[in-house]
Amino acid sequence: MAQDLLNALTLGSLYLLFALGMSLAWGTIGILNFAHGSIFVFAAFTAHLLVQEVALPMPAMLAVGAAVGAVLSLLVQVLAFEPIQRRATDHRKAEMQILVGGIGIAIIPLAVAQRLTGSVPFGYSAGTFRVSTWDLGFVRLSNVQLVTLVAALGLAAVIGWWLRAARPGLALRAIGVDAEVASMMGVDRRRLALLTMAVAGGLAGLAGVLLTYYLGSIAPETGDAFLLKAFAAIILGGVGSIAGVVIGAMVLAGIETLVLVTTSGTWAPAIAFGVIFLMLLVRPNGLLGRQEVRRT
Amino acid sequence: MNAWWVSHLVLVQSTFISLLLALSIQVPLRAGVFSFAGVGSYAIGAYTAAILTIRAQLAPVLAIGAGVVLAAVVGYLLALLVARLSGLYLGMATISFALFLGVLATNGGELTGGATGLFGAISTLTTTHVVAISVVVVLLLAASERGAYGRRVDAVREDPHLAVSLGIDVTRVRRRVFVVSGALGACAGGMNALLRTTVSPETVGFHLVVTALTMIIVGGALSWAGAAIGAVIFTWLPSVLQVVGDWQLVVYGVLVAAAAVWVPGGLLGLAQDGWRRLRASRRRVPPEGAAAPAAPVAADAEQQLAALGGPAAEVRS
Amino acid sequence: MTAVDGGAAGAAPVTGQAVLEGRDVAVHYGGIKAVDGVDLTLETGRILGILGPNGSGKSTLLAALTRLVPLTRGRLTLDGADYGRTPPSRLAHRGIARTFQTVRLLPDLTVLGNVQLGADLRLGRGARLRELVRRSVPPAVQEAIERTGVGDLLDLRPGELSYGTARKVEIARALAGRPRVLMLDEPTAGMNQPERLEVAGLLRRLRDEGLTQLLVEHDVSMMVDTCDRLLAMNQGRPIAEGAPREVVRDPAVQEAYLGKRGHRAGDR
Repeated sequence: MAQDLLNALTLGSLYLLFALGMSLAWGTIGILNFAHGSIFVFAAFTAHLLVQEVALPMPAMLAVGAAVGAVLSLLVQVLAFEPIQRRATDHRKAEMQILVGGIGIAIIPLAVAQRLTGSVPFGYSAGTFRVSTWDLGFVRLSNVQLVTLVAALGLAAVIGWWLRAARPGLALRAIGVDAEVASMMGVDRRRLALLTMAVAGGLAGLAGVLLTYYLGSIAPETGDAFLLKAFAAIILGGVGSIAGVVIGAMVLAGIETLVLVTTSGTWAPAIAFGVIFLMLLVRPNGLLGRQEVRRT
Repeated sequence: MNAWWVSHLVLVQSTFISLLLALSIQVPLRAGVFSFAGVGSYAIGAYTAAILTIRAQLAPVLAIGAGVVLAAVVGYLLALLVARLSGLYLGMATISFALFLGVLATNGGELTGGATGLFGAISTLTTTHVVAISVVVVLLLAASERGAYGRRVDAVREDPHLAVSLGIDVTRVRRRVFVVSGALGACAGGMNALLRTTVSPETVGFHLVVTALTMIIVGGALSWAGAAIGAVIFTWLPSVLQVVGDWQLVVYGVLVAAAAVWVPGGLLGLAQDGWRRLRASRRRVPPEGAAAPAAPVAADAEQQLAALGGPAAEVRS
Repeated sequence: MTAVDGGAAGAAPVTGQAVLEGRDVAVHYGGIKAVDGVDLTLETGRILGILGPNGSGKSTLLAALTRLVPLTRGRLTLDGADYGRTPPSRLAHRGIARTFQTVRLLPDLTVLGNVQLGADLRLGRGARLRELVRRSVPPAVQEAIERTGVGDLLDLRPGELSYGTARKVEIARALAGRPRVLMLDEPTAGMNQPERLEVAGLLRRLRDEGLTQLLVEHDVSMMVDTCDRLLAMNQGRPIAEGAPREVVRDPAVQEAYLGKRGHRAGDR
């Protein structure tokens, strides 16, 4: 039981790391990045390529993943989303085109990874890091789980604090509430958008590397599943609310674990879809969502 | 020629099935409804046709027809459920609906064959039937894009408020679109299941959403012709791209991404723009009434009226 | 589908009869009272003008009368029958047409297509099917095009029109449905002076032919010249009503404008 809870928390933390960046970008600069899953996989994959050459320790791998994720995310923003926003005539069209553009762009890194791996799962067995487990009596905690939990909750706290207290964070929130007022206040929208996308990509990269360590190996297609689960977590908690994403990710992971443990598990993939569908019908602003958050 | 036909039969069939699937997304999009429910209907149609063919040995017309009717009803009910949603939220709700059906199929036990799916749905459906049905569908949709029918849908997409003020029942148009989308998706799914004699839960994944969407993005979302261009390109591209060998998926990705970002109207939009520009340059009408707009109102009335007339200077707000 | 009785050009209507009435109309958004207790009557063959500074609730009132926003309070009647619960899309079928404050032409349709859109609700199924085969322009559309003088531009797209011309196309679209009641939200905004006079003349001619109109405008001299009655609003409430010249001279009206615009007037 306690072990299941710990596993659920770990899974929730991985969802959280992934969803945090997506929610941040969506709730503030209004970009729902569907290439996020692809960035996540490609960052993990780049780390894999690197570790095949040099036996790197875990911190270095995490740094590589975060850096690759940030760079890819910036590239997507500059090459795709910025041109779309510049040319779109109205907000609604821009939003849809960003969704579609994201889905289109996501194909490229995924295709490269699939090509190089032959769609075979990849892992970090060539690195120096080895999974070890501590038996605490009531649960067995692995070092990967510990790092994941600390990273996810720590980063969520940092980002939550940053949005609340730091100047750029406040400016970013202002953009999320009213872009026009924000630009009148002298907020440099473009710079903040780039910063947000870099942070979001970095988080995705981190999540990708940690997931690979946790599962031992991942397949390039993992990104799609994570994308929809992250969306479910965000919708559950409420767009733009950091506390909401934390709760959403944990609740989703909790229900999934419960279903996996108590049934044969074939229904587990349906939970995210069910959550998205029901929440959108019943409470589209999420459990903790703000009313003023962008809606279409 | 005959040899070519035989060796490319599967591709020809796929082209028309892809076309119908793409249309099941394009029809809602044309009315401004961002719905992927057609992908879910594809699953409904495929499973219904396969089950009825295997268990009841129904004729393909009836097997596929039953799926079409079922999906149309489901589409209507779905439209009622998601009536309040639009844009992104509607898109995500319908994606979830479609993918949920995939999981449902996995858990359908004996009826749906679980994770392995169903085999042996052998029927008398031929390529000629598929082509004939597709042609009829395309003709009907082409008609719906012309005249008053077309204008109506344009108004609903571009400006729902305006459409209402012009006497168009926007809610009803949206519901119809869900029904048509459901029927088209189910028709594609049913025909595919019977041609391949098999269906499995893997048929309806996120990849099918991506496939259907990319065809429309590259082809153009505002007309059946766009969906047709997309269906042809993406069915035949792999055989053309054999030149680039293993990298064809990457090339495919670059194409889709470029189209999504730089050519929002798709190839069809590009062609139409070009055609219009060509015609405009031939015609060259002097721009009538192009005199500077919003000249301030002449203060021709009494003094106080002129003062009152002031606000006219800021009418453009 | 429904054959609606007489267009503007129909049998001579009795001038001065109440067609559309609003009683104690109120629209509140949360705590904001956009419109709060307005009474108005549209009479056959007359033009009622609504005057008021920006944000005084004119456009919201129009949205309420056309059922695009729900009423917080009040009663709306058309020919004496309550229409406060009629779906907004039915109103066009009952002869109410409107234009909007901003240009709202469909970018992908030609000028002709945009005007035809206004008449499509009068087409029966047969006419719609015939149009699939052969391009045809109903007489009402033809007439609307001639009256607004946009006949030379039929093949152009809205993006190729000047602002003032685009607004004329909008009026043509509203007329193409042969309405009994026409509501115009700042029809001459963005037009130059000759165009304004042209539109004002058109509205007066339509009135003389029996078309009931509601006109929201900023151009006070045009309002005085064109309307039979004026209703002045400020902050969602009616402040004066009556003959145009009197309403304009009303101290409350003067204050509503000059109080707000005082500094501007001083600049001149």
